Amino acid sequence: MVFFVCAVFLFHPELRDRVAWQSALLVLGQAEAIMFVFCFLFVLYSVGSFLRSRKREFGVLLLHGMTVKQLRKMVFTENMLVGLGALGAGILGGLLTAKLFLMAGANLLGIEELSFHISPWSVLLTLAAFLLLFLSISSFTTMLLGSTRLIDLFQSGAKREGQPRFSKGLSLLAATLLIASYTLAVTASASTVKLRVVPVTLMTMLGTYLFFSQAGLAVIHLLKRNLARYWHRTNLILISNLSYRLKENAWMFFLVAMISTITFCAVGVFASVNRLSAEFDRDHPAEIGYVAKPGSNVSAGHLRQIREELAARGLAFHEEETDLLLAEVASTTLAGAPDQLALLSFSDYTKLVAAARMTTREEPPDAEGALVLMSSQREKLLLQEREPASYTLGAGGIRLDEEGVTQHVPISDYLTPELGDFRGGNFSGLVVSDATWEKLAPNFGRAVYTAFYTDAGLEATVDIAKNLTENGKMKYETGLDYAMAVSGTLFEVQRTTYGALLFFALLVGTVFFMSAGSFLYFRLYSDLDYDRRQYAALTKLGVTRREMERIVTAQLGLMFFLPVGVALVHSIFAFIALQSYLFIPIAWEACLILFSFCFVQGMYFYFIRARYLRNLQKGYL
Amino acid sequence: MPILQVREISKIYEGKISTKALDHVSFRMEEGEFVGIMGPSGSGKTSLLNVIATIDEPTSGTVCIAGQNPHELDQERMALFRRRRLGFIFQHFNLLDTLTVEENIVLPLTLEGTPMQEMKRNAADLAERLGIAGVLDKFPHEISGGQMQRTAIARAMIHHPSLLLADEPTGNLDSKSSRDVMEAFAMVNEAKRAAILMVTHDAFAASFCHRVIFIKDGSMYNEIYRGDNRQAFFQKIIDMMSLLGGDTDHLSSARL
Repeated sequence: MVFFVCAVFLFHPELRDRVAWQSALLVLGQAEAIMFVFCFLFVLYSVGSFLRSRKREFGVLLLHGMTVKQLRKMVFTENMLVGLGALGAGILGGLLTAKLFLMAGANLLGIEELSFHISPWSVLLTLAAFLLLFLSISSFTTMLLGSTRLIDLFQSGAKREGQPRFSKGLSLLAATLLIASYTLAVTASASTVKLRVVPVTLMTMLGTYLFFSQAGLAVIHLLKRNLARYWHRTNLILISNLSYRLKENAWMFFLVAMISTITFCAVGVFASVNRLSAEFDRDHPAEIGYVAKPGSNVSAGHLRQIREELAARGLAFHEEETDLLLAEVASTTLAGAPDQLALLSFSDYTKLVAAARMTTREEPPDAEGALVLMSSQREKLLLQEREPASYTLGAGGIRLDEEGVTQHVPISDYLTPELGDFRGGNFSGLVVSDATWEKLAPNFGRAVYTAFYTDAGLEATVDIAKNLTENGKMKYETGLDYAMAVSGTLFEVQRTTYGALLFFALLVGTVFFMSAGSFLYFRLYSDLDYDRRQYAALTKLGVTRREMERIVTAQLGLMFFLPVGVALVHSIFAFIALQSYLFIPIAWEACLILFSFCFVQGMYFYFIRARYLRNLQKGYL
Repeated sequence: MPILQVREISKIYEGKISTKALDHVSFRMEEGEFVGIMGPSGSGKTSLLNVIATIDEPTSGTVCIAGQNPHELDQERMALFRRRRLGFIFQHFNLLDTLTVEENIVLPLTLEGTPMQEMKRNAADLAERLGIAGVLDKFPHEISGGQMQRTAIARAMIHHPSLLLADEPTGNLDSKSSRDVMEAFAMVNEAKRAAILMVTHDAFAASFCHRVIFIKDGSMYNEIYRGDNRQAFFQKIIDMMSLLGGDTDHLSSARL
């Protein structure tokens, strides 16, 4: 039963192998490694918990004269057999469903259908990895078995010791930590969010653990004090059981909450990143941008090629041409101290904005002022929040002070020297007033920017001027005489990359999530014996079946939804923090993802509940 | 009206080899009576108790408790019937170890939604009489076996059931605790006029009863009444047991 779940697991990693010939090889490798480590821990845990539930059986075997060595050999062989079976079933299942996954993957990646290709290496790797895994785990298991004293084996799981204790101080600390980290997350701004990420995460983790191990018990203690409610019908049984369950399962709850949070966030982030594509138009206003560096003599040929290719595709287009000044920077307060800076005149800026069918009502900067030329909408928040820098330009020592940030991106960011850093945001250059631009013009070299605009969609320009670009772009920094960006190709590349990321995040996320659910199930299973006895006694006392189901449902519900609920709250705050960093609204994606995970968890809950009730009732009547 | 009327009960366990656990057993119990059931292992004592307790169904015959046949009820009502009309005491106590002694005692009342004050008062009253008032706040694992069984008696008694059913209540106790528990039974029987039906192996425990019914191989074998002298009653029980054989010393009567 458990190994069925494991089998699902097992076939996932090798499925990943099979798609591995796809582009995102690196992501894949990492996912594979994570999966492996995770599988290891997971199988170790599940084997351990099943051995524990069989202690009595081992006791009987030992009592009848089996030596410890024989017992170990037996357990080892058992594990290996089950492991091999699961491995075989996993690979077989993987082979059978591979086509389905390939199709789903292809759909998500937005690429043509993947051929049904299974490399023998993927099978081999899976075999080797999991054989190793089962071998090492099988040899560990005897250690997991722990004491082999007969009396311990026979009396295992018979008693619950002591009332769960908790410390008020630690409970308060838990609440404080959680509230503090939530506050920090909510108030984080684009520039502070990166600084806060690590401490907030640590605080949340500690807070979560304390919440389950201490604060939960404190809450139950408070509930118990209210005798009128506590001693009301099934509450008595329910609440007193809860405190034990919380105490025994705090560590597991914590694990599940953390795993779920990570899953939610990862999938959420990748789903949101996918949305970035939607903003693509605004970052790359021209379908094709071309910058000829000063003194370039290849530009005429290149531009002619572009025009011809556009014409050959029958695309109507119009061109805009502007000059960019490449100013030498003598000194600046900007971090990173660049030595070159692209300058655009304000009238050219408005001209380019208008050419891309966007509108602006921005005011031109002062004579000594400048607007930061935004490189991408996603940098906007960072740029707006950082300290305005000032520059002293070489040859004449003219000083420019940043006054603000442009509303639009007139030029793709690949086409000019890149400025700034990840903390203050990247930008493409400065926009200065026409007068200042004219004044500076004689001193510096000029690059010529040619933009081609069409009204056809992005798809229309895919792969234009393929020989001039690498994956749709030729960065300014490349060192050639020109820089170039083809939006259609760029968009295609971005879309498939993000699609791949999302696809793998979803796969890994699902596996994580399922395993989190399975942890809960194991936990239940190891308590089953005890519960069965308790419920048998309760039935004799005249607890009706419906009351029993109510108690079980409430208990299971808590076990299933408390950690996931905590994970949900964590993720919501994480998304809020993330929102302050991203300029696009991600609420919709976040809601969708959280909702679908909740839905899956709900289904899982009903499934497990039905099973568990049936198992319980097998014990009595 | 008898509190318990058992008429012609038979119980056959179906299987590859059908076994007849009970064969036309009939007896009745009056209100306030304290009845013991004894018999060798496998004689059908526990089957009889299970049938009376509505945990198991008879193959034929009827059980009537306080004028009602619980086997005619559906599952839900049967559970409610157990909860309201019957009290149970087990060999292994079956206390919930997540609950304190006091909470264990009031458990049947909480299920009914009884007012708080009444529960407190009843629990305190019973605990006082049973000599466990001092351990009300303790958990089951912190108290002795005798105290646990007296807690179980209090739990079985708190809702004033028509009939108290006890299955080997002294089976897990030492002699001192056994005496405490049996005296507790005698006390609740006298003070509360509670009818008690007890299955036991223990002649000493049985000597507290008014009447002991002996069964063998699923049929009524004999019954003896206490009269005034418990010591003499005890001796009679011992004699009857050795006649029945196989119980205390696990030797068959044929070999004696």
